[in-house]
Amino acid sequence: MFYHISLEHDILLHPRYFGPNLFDIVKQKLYTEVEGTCTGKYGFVIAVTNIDNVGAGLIQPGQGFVVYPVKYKAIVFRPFKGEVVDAVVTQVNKVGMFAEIGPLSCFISHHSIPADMEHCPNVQPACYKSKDEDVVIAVDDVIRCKIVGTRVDASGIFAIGTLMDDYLGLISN
Amino acid sequence: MPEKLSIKSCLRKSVKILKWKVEPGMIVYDGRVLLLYEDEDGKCSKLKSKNVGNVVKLLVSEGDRVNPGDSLLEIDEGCKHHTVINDLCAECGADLQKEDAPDKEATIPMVHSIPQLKVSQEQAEKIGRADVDRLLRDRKLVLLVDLDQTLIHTTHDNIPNNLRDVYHFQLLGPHSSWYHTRLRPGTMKFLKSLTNYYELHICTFGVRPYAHMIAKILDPDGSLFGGRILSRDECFSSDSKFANLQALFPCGDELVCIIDDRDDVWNYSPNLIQVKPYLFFRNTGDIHEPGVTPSSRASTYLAPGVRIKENTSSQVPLVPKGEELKNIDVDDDEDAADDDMNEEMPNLDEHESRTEKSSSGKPSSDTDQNSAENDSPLSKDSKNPELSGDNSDVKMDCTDKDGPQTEPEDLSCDKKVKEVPPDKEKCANTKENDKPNDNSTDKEPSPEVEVEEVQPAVEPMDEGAKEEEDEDVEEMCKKMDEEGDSLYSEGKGKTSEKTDKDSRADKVANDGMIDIDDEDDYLLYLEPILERVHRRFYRIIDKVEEGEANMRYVIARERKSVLEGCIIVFSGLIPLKASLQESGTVLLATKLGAVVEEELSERTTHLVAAGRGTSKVHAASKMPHVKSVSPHWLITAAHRWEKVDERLFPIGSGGPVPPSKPLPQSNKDVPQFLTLSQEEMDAMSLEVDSLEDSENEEVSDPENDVEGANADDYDEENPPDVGRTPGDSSDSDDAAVAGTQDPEEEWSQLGAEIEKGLTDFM
Repeated sequence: MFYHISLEHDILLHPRYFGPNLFDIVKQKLYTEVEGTCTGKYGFVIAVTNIDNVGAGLIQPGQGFVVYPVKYKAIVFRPFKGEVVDAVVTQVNKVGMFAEIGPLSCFISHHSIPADMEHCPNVQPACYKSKDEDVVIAVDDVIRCKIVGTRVDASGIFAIGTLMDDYLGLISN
Repeated sequence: MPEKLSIKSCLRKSVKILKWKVEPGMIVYDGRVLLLYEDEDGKCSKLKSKNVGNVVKLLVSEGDRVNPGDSLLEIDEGCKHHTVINDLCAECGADLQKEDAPDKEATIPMVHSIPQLKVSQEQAEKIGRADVDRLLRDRKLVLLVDLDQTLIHTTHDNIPNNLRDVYHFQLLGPHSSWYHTRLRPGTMKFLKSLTNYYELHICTFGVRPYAHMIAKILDPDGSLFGGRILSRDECFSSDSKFANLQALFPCGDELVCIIDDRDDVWNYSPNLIQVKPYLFFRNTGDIHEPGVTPSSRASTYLAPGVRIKENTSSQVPLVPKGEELKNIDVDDDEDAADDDMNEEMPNLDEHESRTEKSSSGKPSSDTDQNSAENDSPLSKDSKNPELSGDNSDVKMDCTDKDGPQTEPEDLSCDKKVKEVPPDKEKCANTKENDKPNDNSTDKEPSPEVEVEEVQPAVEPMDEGAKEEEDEDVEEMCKKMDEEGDSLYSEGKGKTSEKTDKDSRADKVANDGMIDIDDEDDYLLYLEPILERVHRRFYRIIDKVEEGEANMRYVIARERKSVLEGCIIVFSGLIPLKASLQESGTVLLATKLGAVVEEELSERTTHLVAAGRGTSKVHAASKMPHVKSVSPHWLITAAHRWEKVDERLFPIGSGGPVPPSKPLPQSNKDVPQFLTLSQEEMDAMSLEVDSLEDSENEEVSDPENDVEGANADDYDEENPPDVGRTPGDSSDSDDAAVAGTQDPEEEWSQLGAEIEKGLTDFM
C-alpha cells in the first residue's frame, strides 16, 4: 500500500559544502540518501515529494561536520499481509515462481499456484501452464497475487505470495 | 505432530453451502476463503479460515445446509512449512524466526541458483520424482557440465585483446580484474546437439557472477541451461560438488551423468565421465580450483586486466592448447638454448619451423630465415613436407597412416611432448618456443610463441587463412596454423590494436582478430561417448538390454566395452614392489574392460611398455599376436572411450607419461577413473633409464638394472646419439640439455629419455 507521509532524516554535511549553495546541497543529499531505501516500519521510500523544513544545523564538536535535521514528505510503499498487488514474474522454477512488485520481490510457491497449473520446464521459456493451456504464466508476465507473509530485514522486504484466491493470477492485457 | 482439527461453522444462522473453494490436500491459512455460502436472505458470502493447516477431508458437500456448530471440514492443523525461503514459510506465510520451530524440515535447496529457497525431504522427493518422470518421458538424461577446463579455459593473465573466440569480461565493475575465456573448440555445437539427449546443468566452482556470465556466453537465450546453474556460492562444500548432487536430485542419481576434468570433486562418483582437461592459456590452471579460498586467490587476480591493451605486442602469452604447465617451464629453458642453436645451426631452424606452426605473428625476418633454411642442403627438408602433411591430415581422424610421428592429440596432457618426437630426432629441445623472447629479434622463436599450436582444429577453418598456410607449408614446411575455429563464436574482444600485428599479416584476419590454432578436438570424442551412454540407458529402459537403469552402472558398462577382450601386460609401468591390483594403471585398464596379466602368454593381446628394451618388449617382439604400445595408448583410449589404433602408439612415443595426481586414498570411494600416479611415474622413468642401459649391454633382465639406474646414464649414452646425427646438432643438443638441467633436472632427464627413445626408434 502506498502512503504519503512525513518523515525526518538527519543529513551529515562536510564543511567544504558550507557556502551559498548549502541548502541545495542538503536537499540533494536528502534525495540520494533517502529515495530507494527501505525501513521495516514504513517500507520502501519511493519518492520525496516535498521538503518541509531544514532545521538548524549543529556542528559536530571536533569534526566540523554539520547535522541538519530535515523534515520531508515522501511516498512510501509498505506491503501488508493480505494485500493484493500486481507483480511482474522474474523467474519460474519447479518449486514456484519469483515476482517483483516494484522494489519488493516475492516468491509464490507451487502450492500456492492453482492446482490445475503445471510447471513446464521443457518449453522455452519455462512457465506454469493450465491443463487446457489457456493460461500460461512465464517470465515477464504480469500477475496479480496476494501477499501472505513478509520478511523485513536490513536490506529490504521479502514477501510470500499466493495465487489461490479469487481474481488472482495472470492479468491478460 | 499436527493435530486433526474440525473447523466448525461459526455462523449464527444455518446456511447453504454453494461452493467449496478448497479440496483435500490444499493448504489453508488465515484468511483463506474456504467456501461460498448462501444465507437465508439469499445473500452470497465467503467463509474464511482462521486456522492454518492441510485440508484432510471435506465433511459436507455442496448444496448441503449446515447449522451453527456443524463441522465443515477436517484439517491437519499447523503448516509443516515444506517450502521455506528466507525463513518464511512459502505456503502459509509464517515467519519461522518468530515461531519456535526447532525441527525445521525444509533443508534442501532444490533450485540451483537460489540457495535460500529450501524444501523438505518429502517435497524434494515429490518434485524430484516429477522431474524423473518428465525426463524419462522425454527420453532424456541429466548432464552436469563443469566449466573450467572442461568446456572453457579462463585466465587472468594479460593476453592480446584480439584473439579470436576469446571472450573478455569483468565481473566486479570497471576496475576489477579481467577474465579472458576461451571456449573449447566445438563447444557450442557440442552443447546444442546434446540438448537432444540431456537436460544440461552447469556445476562449477566459479562464483555465481562468473558462472552466469559464462552461461550467458554459452547460452545467450537460456535454451540450453535455463537457469540450471550451480556455482560456488551454492555449493555446500568448498572442495566437493558431490554433496549438492543429493539436493539437486533427491530421488537419486540414476539419470545423472557428469562431465568434469577432475574426479576428486565428485568423490570419484561412478556417474562421472572424466574428460581430458582443456588448457589454452599458458601459466593458468584452473582458476577456480577447489579448496583455494577466494581470498587467497585474490592476490593472483591482481594482475590488472587493464594492461591487456598495452600488450598486444608480439608476445602472446598464449600457450598452444594442451600444453602442460610443467612443460612450459621446460620450454622456457629450452628457448634460450634454442636461440643459441639457431644461430649455430641452420638446420635446427627447420625443425622449429616444422614444430611451430607458423604462427600468426611471424616477423617477416622469419620468412627470410626460413627460406634460407630451405635452401640449405639438409636432408631435413625432404622430411619436413612429410611432417607437415601428416599434421594436417592426421588431426582428426588420427588415422593410422603415419603412426609414429603423428600422435592423436588426445594424449592426456602433453601435447608438447607428443609433438616433440619428430623434432627430437635431430634436436631435442627445439620443440617449444612459445616463450616470448624479445631478444631473438629475427629468430623464429618469438613468432612461434603465438600460434605454435598446430594441429588443425576440428572445426571448419578459415579458408583464406588455410590457403596461406598451405603456402607456408610448402615454403617453410611449417605446420598449419590458422585452422581457426572461428565458427562458433565471434570473438568479442575489444577494439583491437593491430598496428604491430601488421607484419604478421598471415595470421591476422581482415577484422584484426588473431586466429588461433587450437588442436583440441576432444569434444568430438566426448559427444559420441555421451550418446552411447544415453543409448545404452534407454535400451535398458526399453528392455532391449538387460541391466539396471542406473547411470552409474550404465557408464561403467559402456566404459568396460572399450577394451573388452584385450589382455594386457605392463612393462616398466608398475613398480616392482607394488602388487598388480594396487596400481592405478592396472585399475585404469580394468575399468576399460581389459584383463591385466603379469606375464606374456599366448593369450596376451597388448604389451604396454614405458620404454623399449625390457625383456618383455623383446619377448613380445617375437610374438606376432602381441601389439606393443606406449602407455599413451591406454590413456588415449581412456579419454576417447575407443580402442585407438595401436600403430599410432609405438613404444616410446608420446613422451613421458604425464604425472598425475596420486591415487585416491583407500578411504574414499572406489575410484572410477584413474591415471598414473607420481610414484609410478618416478619408478617408470627410473626403469626406462636402466632399461636403456640394459639394451646397450644386451642385458635381458630388467630387474637387475633398476638398481644400477641413475640420472647420469644418459651422459654415457650420448655417443651413440652423436653417431646418428650430424655432429653439430648433437653438440647443440648437449647444450640444450645442459641448459635445462638446472631448473628442472627431472624434466631434462625425461627429455633425454625421449631423445634416446627416438634415436633408438630411428
